[in-house]
Amino acid sequence: MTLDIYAEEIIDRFKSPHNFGKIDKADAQAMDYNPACGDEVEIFLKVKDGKISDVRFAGRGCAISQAASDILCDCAKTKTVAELKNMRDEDMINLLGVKITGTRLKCALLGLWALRGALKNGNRNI
Amino acid sequence: MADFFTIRADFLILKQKINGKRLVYLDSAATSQKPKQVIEAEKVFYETINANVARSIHYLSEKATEAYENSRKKVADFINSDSDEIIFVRNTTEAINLAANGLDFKKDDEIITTLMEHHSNIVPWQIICKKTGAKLKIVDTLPDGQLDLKQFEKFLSSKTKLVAVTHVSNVLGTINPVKEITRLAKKFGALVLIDGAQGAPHMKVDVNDIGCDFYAFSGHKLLAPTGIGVLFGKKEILDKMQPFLYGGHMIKKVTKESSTFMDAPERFEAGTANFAGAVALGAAIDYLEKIGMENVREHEKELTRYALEKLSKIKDIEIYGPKNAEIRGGVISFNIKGAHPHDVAQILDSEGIAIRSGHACAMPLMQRLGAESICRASFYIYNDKKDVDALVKGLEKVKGVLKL
Repeated sequence: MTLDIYAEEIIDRFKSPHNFGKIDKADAQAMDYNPACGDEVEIFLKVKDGKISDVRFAGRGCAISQAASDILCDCAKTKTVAELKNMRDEDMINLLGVKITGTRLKCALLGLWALRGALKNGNRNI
Repeated sequence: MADFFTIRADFLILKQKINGKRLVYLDSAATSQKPKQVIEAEKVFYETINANVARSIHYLSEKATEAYENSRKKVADFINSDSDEIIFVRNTTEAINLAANGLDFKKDDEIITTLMEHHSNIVPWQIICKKTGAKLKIVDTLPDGQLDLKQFEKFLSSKTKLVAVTHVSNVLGTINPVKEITRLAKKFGALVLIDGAQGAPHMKVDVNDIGCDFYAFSGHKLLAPTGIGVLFGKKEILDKMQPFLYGGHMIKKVTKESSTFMDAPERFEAGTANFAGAVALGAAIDYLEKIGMENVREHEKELTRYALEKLSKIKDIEIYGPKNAEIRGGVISFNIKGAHPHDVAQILDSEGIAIRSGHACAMPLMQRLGAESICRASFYIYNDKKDVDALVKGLEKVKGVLKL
């Protein structure tokens, strides 16, 4: 059923995300944008010794894009930069843990796209 | 009055269940469903008279050409014009691009369009202005969802070469006073192009009465298949315009050095046309004429009135556009506080309800509304009050799922 994607955790994170906000003087940040709906997510990273020491996201969007970005931030905190660079689309879908249909894929991946942008544009040696 | 209860039975697609629920199709502003009579007409064309039109001397080609030109006549009558003023194109977008590229714009010319246009009636003009140095002026919308006609009058001058305006907004539903807009534009000798994508399928259109120079619409929003659309253009203007596409069918004579071109409409129909689609469009027009366009409009007006009344009772809903169904087509865009349109659409889908969610190809208007995106329910002849009731009930479910 299509409503499986609105699992309790998704709605809870949409309403009160754990990692929403900006980081001043982030080591890397990037925004990505879903032209289909105008949603945007910006990811901020702090890096220490090749590891993610803090990560936040800002922006606006649907329950899926916001919850996915929040879950991604929790995950990123446990990773090294190298590990994050290797993260694939499927990894993000697995993290979300709900079945995503084709039309919502962009929503689920928006945070990851922004993260990839940040990792690419890092303003210091991250 | 037409029997709208039996009309639904002609749309076989609506018989299916979606997620176990009765399909409630509220996305006709994106594309309409097709009655079996239209699908049958295309099928019969392919099974009995398919051949390339106006090319070969044989029975099938004669018949196919006759059917194609017969459809052109039906379209011409449908909007009260002449056959040689009807150009078959793919869709409204192509029609507008054809006009934009065929007309001759110069530096210092001015083009006026509006904030409530679909991207297809903004972007081509932006590009023309970039190429030619002409200037684009964009008429604002008022808080009630109508065009700021005072500003429009201020924009008009002897420099105004063309006014491009939508008949009905695909977001706000606003029915623009196109006859009055044309009258004002004509005082300055400007050409007028009307985007009729949301107009022609839903109400009686008389281009002669409006006085416009161009009227564009798509078949697929008017019960016909995708890939067939119409540009009406006044004959004397079409004859002065450059072709948009070059190739077969549109030429008079080709030598190694140069070519001469046919008159309108052939001049603008290069390449093998979608003649089967055109024939099906003819069948769609027959279907609508049988109901009567006045009845179509009355039916949608009644549904719109009902929907506005029911929807406005929902807590935390914001409905965009005119609140008066007299000046509003069957398009209702809204947002529910705290709910993203994609989530609203997805939850409604679980109830078998299909709406549009997103920017509806009108990003400049979204900015004016202060919304990133919207939910849009739109009606056609096969919708009824039960569909509106289902939508209202579905929106309550949305609130439940999203804990609003």
